[in-house]
Amino acid sequence: MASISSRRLAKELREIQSEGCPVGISLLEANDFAKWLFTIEVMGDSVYQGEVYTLQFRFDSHYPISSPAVQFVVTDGKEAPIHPHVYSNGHICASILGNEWSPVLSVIAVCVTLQSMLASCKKKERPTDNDRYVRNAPENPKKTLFHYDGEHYNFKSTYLQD
Amino acid sequence: MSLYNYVDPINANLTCCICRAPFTEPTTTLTCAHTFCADCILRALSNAPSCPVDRTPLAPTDLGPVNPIVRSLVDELRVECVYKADGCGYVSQRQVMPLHLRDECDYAEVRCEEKEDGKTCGSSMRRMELRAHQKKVHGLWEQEQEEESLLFEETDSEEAKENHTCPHASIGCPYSGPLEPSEHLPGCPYESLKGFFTTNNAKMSLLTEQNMVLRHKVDTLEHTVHMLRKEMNAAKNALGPWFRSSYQTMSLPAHGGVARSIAGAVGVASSDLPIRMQPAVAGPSTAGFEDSVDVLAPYFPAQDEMRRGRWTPSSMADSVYGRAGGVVAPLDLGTTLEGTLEGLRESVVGLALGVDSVGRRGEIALTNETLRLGEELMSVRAQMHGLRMQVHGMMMDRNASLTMREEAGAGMGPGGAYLRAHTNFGSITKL
Repeated sequence: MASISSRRLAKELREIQSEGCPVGISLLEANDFAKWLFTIEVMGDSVYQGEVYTLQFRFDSHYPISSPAVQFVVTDGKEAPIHPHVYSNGHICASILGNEWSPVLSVIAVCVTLQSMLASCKKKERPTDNDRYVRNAPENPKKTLFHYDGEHYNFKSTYLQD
Repeated sequence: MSLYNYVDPINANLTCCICRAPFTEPTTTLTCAHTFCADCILRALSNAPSCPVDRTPLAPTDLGPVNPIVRSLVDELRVECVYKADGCGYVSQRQVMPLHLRDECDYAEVRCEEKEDGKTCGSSMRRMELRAHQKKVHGLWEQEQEEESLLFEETDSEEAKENHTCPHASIGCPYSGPLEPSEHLPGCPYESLKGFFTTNNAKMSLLTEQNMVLRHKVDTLEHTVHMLRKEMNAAKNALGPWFRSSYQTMSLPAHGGVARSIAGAVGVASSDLPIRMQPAVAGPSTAGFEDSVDVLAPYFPAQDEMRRGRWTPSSMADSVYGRAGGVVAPLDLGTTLEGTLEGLRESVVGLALGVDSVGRRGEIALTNETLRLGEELMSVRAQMHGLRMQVHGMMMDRNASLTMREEAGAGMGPGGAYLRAHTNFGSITKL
């Protein structure tokens, strides 16, 4: 099974290298089929203009059946964007990373979705339960069960047991 | 599994959107008609029970086999042997590759199945190493190899001996032996026939060439005939009943006879019908006999018959098949079908106009006649009146003379005489 995930990732990597990333996204590091880093930048007019963030993908052997663990890098002086769906520890509350993940999505598709999520933000603010969440958050964002609510920024998050 | 490397670029429509590789055992959802590898979709469904493409609810029971065409398309993609890195350059259709790996590939892992002391050896190695392993470990193949090498030696020596064949072997000399061609040829019976064979061969090749040319010609001619026949059929279809081959024209009189007798029978049966009804009865019966003859012809009798004024079924049938030259009189078969139809349409319109004007003229004549009659009636009435007045006058005179005679004869009073005279007068005037 592991070979399927690596073959699929190898295909995606080959595509990225041959066709390039969409504007504002670039591959930073992909040394293996476990962890990839991308830089992501919102192009055009937005509250994040000129800011570059680093996005980390972690894949398990069940990718693409199971979603990748995606979060913003908050170490080495890097920061997560201030966004009502992004916790200060870099965890992202986005439905496509949780129960709306589909195996037909790809790394680039996730990057583009997150880029547009940032671009559509009008006001920089942290999620309302940021402090509570960050205090108890698991290391892997996939272990969090987010309750998605697009209209209001009131997310509840529960932690899954291992 | 999508483990193969594909030789050619893959059509994106043939790739599973889960593993991004050409479909393996393609499976289609019955609910939304998306196609995936059987394995991919089953694993995706075990994770989330919805279609990965459109997220509609989906259960493993909603999956069905894909159209066989798609299956063949992916099964026939060319793949490299999985041991290419080890040196196997084998490339085949994907559906054949498992057989290659199982039975042929020298680089594939195999297990030694040799049994020794009731135990299976079981050690695994590449197929190319299996023989050496069995020889070394199990002592197999040695005898066979000896036999093989012996066999090789024998054939080698035989080949050395039977090296020479006659140069005329191609024309039938069966000689094959140790003699050099120079030693064999003087005694070879085919040597003397050499000249005959040469000329014969030249003739044969010439004939073959001509045959080829002729065959080509026949092919082209057949093609042309085919084309012509096609065009002919198209023309026939376009002409419909106007088409008349020379064969049909020749055989028409016979048909005409049959049709005539039929038409005659109809004519006898319907002899009490008005003459003008008969073409309508006879028309379909004749049309049924000969489709290629104009079915409208019965409605357009020959002009001489029109002049004769007698339009009998038999004369009509004659006009249909036109004994002299077979041309239907008022219809000009020489023009195109469209032209004739146009002409017919025009004459129908003209006829309608004529009928219309005749009707109108009749009406006018009738009105005139009525007026004239009315006038005549008036004048007759006036004359009648004059006559009556004359009679009246005569009666008055007669009455007067009668009254005077009675008064003189009977001596009655003038009053009673006056009354009687009046009564008489009344009865007379009533005449």
